[in-house]
Amino acid sequence: MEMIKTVDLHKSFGQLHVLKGVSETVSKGEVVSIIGPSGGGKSTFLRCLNLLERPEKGQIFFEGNEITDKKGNIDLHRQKMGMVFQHFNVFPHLTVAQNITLAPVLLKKKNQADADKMAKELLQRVGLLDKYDEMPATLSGGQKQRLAIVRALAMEPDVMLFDEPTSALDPEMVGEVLDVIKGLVRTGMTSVIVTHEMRFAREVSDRVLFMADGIIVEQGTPEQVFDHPRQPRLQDFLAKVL
Amino acid sequence: MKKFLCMMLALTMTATLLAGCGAAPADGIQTVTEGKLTVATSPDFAPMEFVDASKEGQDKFVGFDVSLAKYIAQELGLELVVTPMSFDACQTAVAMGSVDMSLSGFSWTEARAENYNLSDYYNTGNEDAQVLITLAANGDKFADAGNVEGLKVGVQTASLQEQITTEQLPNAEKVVFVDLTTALMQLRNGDFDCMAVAEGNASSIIANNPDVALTGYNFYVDPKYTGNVVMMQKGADELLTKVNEILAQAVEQDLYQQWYEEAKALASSGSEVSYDDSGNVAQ
Amino acid sequence: MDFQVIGANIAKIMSQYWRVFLLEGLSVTLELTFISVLLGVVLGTVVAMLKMSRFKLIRFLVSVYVEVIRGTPILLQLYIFVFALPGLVTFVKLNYFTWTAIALCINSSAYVSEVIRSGIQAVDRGQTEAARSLGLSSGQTMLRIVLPQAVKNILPALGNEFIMMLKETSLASTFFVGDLMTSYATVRGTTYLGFECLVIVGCIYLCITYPLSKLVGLMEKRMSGDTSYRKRNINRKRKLLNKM
Repeated sequence: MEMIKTVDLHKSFGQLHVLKGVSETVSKGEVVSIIGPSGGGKSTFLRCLNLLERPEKGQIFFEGNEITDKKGNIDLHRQKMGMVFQHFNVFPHLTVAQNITLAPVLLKKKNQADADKMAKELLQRVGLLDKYDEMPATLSGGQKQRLAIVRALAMEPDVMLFDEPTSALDPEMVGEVLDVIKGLVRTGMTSVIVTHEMRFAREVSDRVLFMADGIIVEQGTPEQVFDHPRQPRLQDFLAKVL
Repeated sequence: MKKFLCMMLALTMTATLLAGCGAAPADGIQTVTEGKLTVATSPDFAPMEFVDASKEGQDKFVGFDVSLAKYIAQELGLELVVTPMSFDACQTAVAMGSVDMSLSGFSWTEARAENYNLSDYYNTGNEDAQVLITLAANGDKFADAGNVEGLKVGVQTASLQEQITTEQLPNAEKVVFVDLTTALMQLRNGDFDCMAVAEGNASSIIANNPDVALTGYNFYVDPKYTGNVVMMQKGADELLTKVNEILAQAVEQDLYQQWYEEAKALASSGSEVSYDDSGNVAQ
Repeated sequence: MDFQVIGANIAKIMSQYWRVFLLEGLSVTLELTFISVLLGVVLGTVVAMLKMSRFKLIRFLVSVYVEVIRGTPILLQLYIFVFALPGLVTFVKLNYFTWTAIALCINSSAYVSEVIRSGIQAVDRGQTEAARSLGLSSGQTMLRIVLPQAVKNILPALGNEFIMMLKETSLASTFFVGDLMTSYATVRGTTYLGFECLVIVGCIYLCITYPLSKLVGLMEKRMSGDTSYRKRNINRKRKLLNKM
């Protein structure tokens, strides 16, 4: 079943043509990693999926609805698409628990008591239960990113979008965040992951997309992409990063 | 931006026009507020107009001009509303029709006559005399001011004093000041040797500032410049006629001297503090 | 200058006119300042929101509003509001105090709107993106996520605006609204003791503005950096609990 489908996406920032026609489909339960050089359009593509960037041209379908249709309510769709950012973007003025419960309570998915209970369970799952009442400023980078992940999960999304979730972390904290993501995809969560962690992408992905110069240059199973790259652009890239 | 500024300007001008006209009543004088005579004055000019701090509301505005304004209102059958504002604002208020008239110790000048309806003169008795004052320490050094070399004279900007100083002390250097109180400080600082003021103001100043005294020099004042005038909006001719009638009537009844003495007494009592037995200020 | 005489004169003036300065002048100045800044904040918030509107025309009109008000002297605005507007708005009769208060509110709103806008824009864009990605509407994001964080940038600046406005109200004395500078004008008009009156009024202004600016400085320190007041409070509570 199709979860997300994009048709011929184009996006420019001023003179810079970042996406030059990307058509792709993500199925339910699928874990898709996007790799590629910086400036190749990976993050922009991901951010288009929940319309944080609005493409100039093309369509995006989510669970059968066209979300690029301006008449639709994008907020309702976003509730079902969790997103994790490179720079965590936890809310510094709210406690750890409030970070998690704000959206579910505000958007009437849960009452406060149920939301608090869920927050405890989620924090337990990522090993942050003792931080329940803390302010985010007291957390390390890795802890902040784990919090950001469960904050997104609290909305019980159908798909998770990860935008370079470990790029801003100190090396010793990368592992703890990747472990959480691994645990999550094992539960069957549909995920789209933009990452520079090749080993991780190979390990968790059902499918790997290689993006460069605003298009998907090559895609396939991790084995196809990493072990038998066909395009010289991809071979070149892998030679540099591996 | 330009368009907006034009619009602002247009708005302001429309406002002026709107404020200036309006439905004329069948009889009597049309005023800004029906049944009331709104008079602008700058109550920082004892004894002509000042504030009696011991009183509240309209009662606190006192002085010669206020007495006269009361009389004018009474004769017009209107209730007086004194609207205090700075001297500059008084003229703008009249020009824009925000008030019916202004009594604020205005002297007659050609420029004013061109842009406003000015009443006949009213005399306070002592207002006619224009004098030079200086620091008491100077004694009678400037009694013969016309013959003092390098004399510096402080004059209020665009005032009658400026004009007569130019005419009668052509050798003196004029230093322009904006208000009397600041001028006093300048006098003490030595910015100028003496200052030209109306005698009425001079006596109020000297009463409160023992370090200031008359020089003994008196200006000659052309009858044209004596006294003060009531300022009204250009075109308020009916009001002008009525006011002139009322002024004539006041002269006939000899009211000016009495108002002036009252105002002067009130003004000089203003700064004399008396103490009761226990050393507290008596009210 | 004879300071002994000046001192004696100040004592004399104060003993007779302290009511005019303190009861009337100071209270009117504070009243005018509170009204202007308070309504200025409300109006300024609206202006700031409009300035960040999606519609170009609204953004343009609002920036014209802000530029005209910030680009012209307060005194000029006071004249327009007191003399020109009552002629346009004939259906309400307002006194000079009200008109000057309105003029000062409008003036304040232009400055406050810039304070609020820059305070909001100083909040990391990622915060908005995170909130929107959870499904919060733009209004909810502004209210729950952006504004609470912007407050710590805005509040000290508003404190400064209050101090500024406290001094700017003195221009309203052109229309003798009864503020401190009006007290100065009326008392010096009767006593002709200008310097002494200035000293008195200056001291009163300083007595208000100096503690206020200290307070703003404290606020700035408190609100800057990650160590927010609230967090420290929580930690303090925790430490107390541990001790028990």
